[in-house]
Amino acid sequence: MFPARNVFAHCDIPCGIYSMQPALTAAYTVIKMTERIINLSPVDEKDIVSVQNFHNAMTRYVMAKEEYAQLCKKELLVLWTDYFKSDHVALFPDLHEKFWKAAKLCSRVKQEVNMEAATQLRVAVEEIADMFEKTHAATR
Amino acid sequence: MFSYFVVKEQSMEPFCQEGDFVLVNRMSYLFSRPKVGQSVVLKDPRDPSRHLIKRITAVRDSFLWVEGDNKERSTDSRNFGWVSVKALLGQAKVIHKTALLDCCIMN
Repeated sequence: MFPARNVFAHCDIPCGIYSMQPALTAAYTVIKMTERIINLSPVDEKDIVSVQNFHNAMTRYVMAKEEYAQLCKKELLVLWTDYFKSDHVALFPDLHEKFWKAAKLCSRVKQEVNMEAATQLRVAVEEIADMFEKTHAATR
Repeated sequence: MFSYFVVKEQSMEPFCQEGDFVLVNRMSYLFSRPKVGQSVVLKDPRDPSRHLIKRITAVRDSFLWVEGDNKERSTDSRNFGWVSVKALLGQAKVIHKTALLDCCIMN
């Protein structure tokens, strides 16, 4: 007898590793950083230490906002292109629109210090998380 | 004339499961054309050294659209697009491992 070769009923990514949590955490972090930037206490310009600390804190908040907004976009794009399938679009006809808007918001919260946009991003990611939960539960 | 394989991974569940045997008739498409609904073994268009088991869901001229039965757990034409009929090895006949087990027990 010849040895049997393998035939792959293949899937690129092992299932069960998709999660909304990284995108949600990133969206919440963007809100937190926006809040901190807006509420950062003004400084006494004559006090050099105070000025340094202000710039240091501001830079850190802006960097974290930038980093997590980008992470949020990356996580959303992975879910959009890899997890969600055409069957899900039939179930949620506005799925593409929702992802498109959420991804755009990820850019907007980087460009501006905008609490309204950050809140819209949080809502958009939560709506996607809701779709994810419904489709995920159906396949368990 | 026939090739046989062992199934790995889950994209064709419940039609076949990991560990099932697949018998491929390499003459299947010498005298007939592939049809929608048939399960087939084909060369992975992204790595021709690997073979895939999928189901034909559309035929256009000499190109096929193949998908796994388990849509959640399948990388297929939705990812790599239309595949040439030349990539086909043949139609797949699945022999379930549980059937083999039953057979051994009966004998």
